[in-house]
Amino acid sequence: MALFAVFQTTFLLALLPLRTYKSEVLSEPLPLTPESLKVSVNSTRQRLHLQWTVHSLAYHQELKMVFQIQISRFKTSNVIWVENYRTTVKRNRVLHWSWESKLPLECAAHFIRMRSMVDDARIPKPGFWSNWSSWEEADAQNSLGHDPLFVFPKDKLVEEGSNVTICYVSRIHQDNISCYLEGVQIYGERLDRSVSAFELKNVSFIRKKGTNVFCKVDQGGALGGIVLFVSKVLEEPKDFSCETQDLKTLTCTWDPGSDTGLSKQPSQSYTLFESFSGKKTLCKHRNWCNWQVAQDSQETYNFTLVAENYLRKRSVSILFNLTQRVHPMTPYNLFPKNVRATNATMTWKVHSIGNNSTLLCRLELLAEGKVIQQHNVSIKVNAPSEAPDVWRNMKMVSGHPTVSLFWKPLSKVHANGKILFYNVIVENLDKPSRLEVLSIPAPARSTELTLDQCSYQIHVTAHNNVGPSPASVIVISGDPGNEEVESGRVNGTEDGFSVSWKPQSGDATGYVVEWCDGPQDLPCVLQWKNLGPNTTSTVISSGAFRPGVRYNFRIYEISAKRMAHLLEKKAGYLEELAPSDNPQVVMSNLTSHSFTLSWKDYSTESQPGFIQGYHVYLKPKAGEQCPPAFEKTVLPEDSVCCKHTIDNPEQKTFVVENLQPESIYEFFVTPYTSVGEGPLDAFTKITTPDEYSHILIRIILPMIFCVLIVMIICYLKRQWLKEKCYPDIPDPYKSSVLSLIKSKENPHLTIMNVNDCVPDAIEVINKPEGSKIQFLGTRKSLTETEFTKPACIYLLPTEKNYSGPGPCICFENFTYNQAASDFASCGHFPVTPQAPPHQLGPLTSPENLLKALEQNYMNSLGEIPAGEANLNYVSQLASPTSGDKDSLPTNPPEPALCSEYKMQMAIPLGLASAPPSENSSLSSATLLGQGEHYR
Amino acid sequence: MRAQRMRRTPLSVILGLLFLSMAATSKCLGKYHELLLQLQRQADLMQDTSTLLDPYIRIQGLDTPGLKEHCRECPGAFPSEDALRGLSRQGFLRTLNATLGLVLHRLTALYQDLPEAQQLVGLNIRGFRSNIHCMTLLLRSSSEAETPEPTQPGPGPTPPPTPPSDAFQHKLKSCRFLRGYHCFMHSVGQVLREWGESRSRSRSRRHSPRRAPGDTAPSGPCRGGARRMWPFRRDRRLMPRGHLPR
Repeated sequence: MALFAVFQTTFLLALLPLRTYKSEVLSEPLPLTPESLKVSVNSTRQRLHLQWTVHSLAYHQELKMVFQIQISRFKTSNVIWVENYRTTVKRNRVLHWSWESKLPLECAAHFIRMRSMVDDARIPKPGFWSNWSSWEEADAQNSLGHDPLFVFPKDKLVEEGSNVTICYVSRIHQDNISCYLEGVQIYGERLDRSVSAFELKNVSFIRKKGTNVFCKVDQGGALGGIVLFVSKVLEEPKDFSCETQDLKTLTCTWDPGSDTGLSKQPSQSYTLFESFSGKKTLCKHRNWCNWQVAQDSQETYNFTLVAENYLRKRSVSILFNLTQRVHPMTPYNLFPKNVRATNATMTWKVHSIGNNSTLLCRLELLAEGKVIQQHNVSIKVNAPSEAPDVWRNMKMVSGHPTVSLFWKPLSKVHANGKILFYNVIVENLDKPSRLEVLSIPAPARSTELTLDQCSYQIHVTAHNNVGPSPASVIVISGDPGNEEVESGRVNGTEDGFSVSWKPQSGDATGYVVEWCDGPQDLPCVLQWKNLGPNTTSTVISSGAFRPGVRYNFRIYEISAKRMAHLLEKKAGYLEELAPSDNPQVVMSNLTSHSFTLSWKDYSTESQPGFIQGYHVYLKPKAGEQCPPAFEKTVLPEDSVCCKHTIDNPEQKTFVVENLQPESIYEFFVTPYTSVGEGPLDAFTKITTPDEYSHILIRIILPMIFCVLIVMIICYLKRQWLKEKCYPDIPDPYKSSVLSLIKSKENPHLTIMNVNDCVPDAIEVINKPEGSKIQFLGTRKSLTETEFTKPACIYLLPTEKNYSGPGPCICFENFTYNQAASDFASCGHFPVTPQAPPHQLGPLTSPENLLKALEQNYMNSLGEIPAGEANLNYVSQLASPTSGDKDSLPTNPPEPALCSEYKMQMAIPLGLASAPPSENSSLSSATLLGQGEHYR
Repeated sequence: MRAQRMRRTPLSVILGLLFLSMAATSKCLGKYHELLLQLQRQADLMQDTSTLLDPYIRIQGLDTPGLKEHCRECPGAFPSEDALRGLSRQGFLRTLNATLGLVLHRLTALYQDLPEAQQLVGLNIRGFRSNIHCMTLLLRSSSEAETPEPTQPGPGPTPPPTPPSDAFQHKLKSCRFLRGYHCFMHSVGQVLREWGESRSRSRSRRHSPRRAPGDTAPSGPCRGGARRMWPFRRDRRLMPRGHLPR
């Protein structure tokens, strides 16, 4: 390193003479001559600013140089200032220098030049000056206007006692220009033909609006002037001191001295700077300032008060210990208390001074204007010494976990004065977020927070006028979960409830027993008790506990993460009572031997004791024994009844069995606790029904139901039934008539087959439709209609004693019926017009109808000529009950016995013409012959 | 002098507040003479240099020989008395209102120099403008058929923008402005007084600039008074028709 320095120095020494010599020889400018010299004027500050560079230096070369600067005024030869400016020069680095002119720059042109010389220790002296730079002119007069007279400097701000040079520039070049300072003429020096200067020494403050200096031409009236703002000298702040009354705020005061404010300059400002903390504050007042004491227990403070205006700064410092600058506030609320003849108690209040501070109070007793007693009292003032006891209750409101925070007021011992407010700080543990701080004024004891599904840590502190208490911290899980635990019972004693539990985890930091201090039907006044981690039992006592009220206790385990988990539930009574009311019993399923009692709405939770079961009382009828499940007991009113005990409180139904039918019973249900049973209410009376009535009901009802079903089926299948049972064209083989005749009369009787018949030619002659339509379309009785068209032959039973209508076969052949009416053909029973209606009788009765038929039939046979009737076709007539439209409108009582024959049968004339006899005239044998035609 | 100022200050405060309240309630005196008398008294009050100019000169230190005489009114800054006299009544009131509006604006800039006086004079000007408004309404209701007049010239042309003046120039300019304001209010008072005298004079003499004998108007703050820089009309009606005094 040293070798390198020696080498560099040698090189420079060798280089510089060489360059100098070269420049002299070659008449070139000195390589280190200042270049690019520029001059500017700052009229406000009356300063000339110069800047230049030295280009000839090698890269990274630094040299200490001296620049000689010459300033001339008015002309270059009038040098008024020469100054050597020393600085370190680098290549292409712009150098600056400024000069303040006493004479306002607007009053004279100035010329500046400079030269340089290396002034570096590495180069042996003597050095060589470079050539002068060319003159640079700074002329502020060029910017003046066209007024005849100018006075400078404009609006100059100086301190009181300063010397100020003013000048005027006259464009009229007259000699009769006079200048005045506040109306007093001043005399100066003529610097030029048009410029004069005046030196004002030791200027004094006259007014805030400035000192007026003006010049005027005596005759012309031209006026020029300036306002010189003379400020009072800024004084150093006096009596700077700081003190505190509460160890929270320091109040610093000082004497500011003169106000240096002017129109041109505001009053001085004051800044308080503390060196240890590095903080500073701009004071709003000119003689005092407040400083907030840091919470980090800074004891020593080093304050510097800086006063500042446009012209100067003044500062003053003090160093002190905070505790030594305490100025207690005056005690207040001084009152005598318990004044007696010889003594009295005095009470008063003091303003606290920070935490853990002790105040010494002196109490003086005066009598007749003289102090006769003095007492010194030491008072310790602290922040609350204990964290508030905080517990929470969680519930879901509109899907959001809502936490109700409760805290107990601190005891006087721990509160250390009046608690002003509680701070609740909510911190999200799952994601970083801003702390939410709630300030809840005392004496509030709870607040409600709506959280989300995250976990939160909640800090609660109590604040008095000194400061906060230690924080009580609990952690709330966003998911409350369904902590289902088994419920147990706890016994109440005179001292309270003795609650015990079994620890679950080994890392419990404590336990909390929670309960409500009122009955269940009242709003819960949440109470809790904090217990240590090694505690497994406690006695919960409260003046609010009442006998007969059920209290539910929840035991929580507090984990190391300050999260509470439900451990156990317990319920108990301070003192159990007998039930105060009985259940509302509903009776059902009443039979002749039993009925059912139920009281499911009865709540066992809200009873004044643990319900152990129920007593069912039953009063049987006199002389009857108790049912088997009952035992005989005597009621308080000495009446005897039966009692059954249900020892399961959850069994709320009971079936009373083994009763007698048609008997009156009275029953009554009451719960019972360990103390006793419920009040004896009125018995409810019931009567058991008949023993068989229910059996009948059991039979008849299904039968009715079955009949209804059959009827419905028959109705739905009526067409099928008709086909099967009574078709419009019955199958002779299936006819009951056949079987009837067969069984009764002639077992050889057969039915004629149509194929066996030889049809004859049939002539259809003019059948009057009207009579048929009339007969078919109306439902008039036969007495009103022409009774000549249909004819029925009733199949009468042969029994003589038979009196009712028998089966009949109706024959009808409308064609031949018509002919019969005309030609008295066979098988028709024309009603003679002469036949009186009473002979016909009402055809609605079977007797009349049968009679009429017999008579007509006999008549018709008698009227048929023997020679003309060889074969007679008889058409079948629908039975009036068949539903046919051609049926008779009457309703014979035995319509089912009538059968219709649509098939026509040939009747031998011999048979037909045979004279009717008493026995055979209407018998089927007569109609069908000896079986020749029946197959 | 000081005692006189002390007496005038409360009076001007009361008057200012009175006029302000009138303006606030927008109730105008319906009687021409009372309103005219109020305007005259207000003009007399506002031409008093002790309310504005004198304090300003004293505070700024301009009350020294050699400077005081340079605090003259700038010609053309305010309408001259002749110019005001040449206006019709409606035109006069409009010009007066516009000029005082500009004065108010300028006074606001002088607040740093004359905080108390500026506030007081501001109240006076607002009260005066309120009465101008009422007089305008009164004249308009009494002479609906009066032909509309062309817009009256404002208080002189706006000066061309100049480089920021130094404190000395500012002092002189403000002093000249305040003197011009007082002179202007003196001229206004003169014209208003002629309105009151118009009944007793012949119509031909109504426009005479000569003061009536026995005129007790306060002496004006203006010296010379040969300020004829303002244009004026001679073909106008000074007395509106209607229920004005005859």
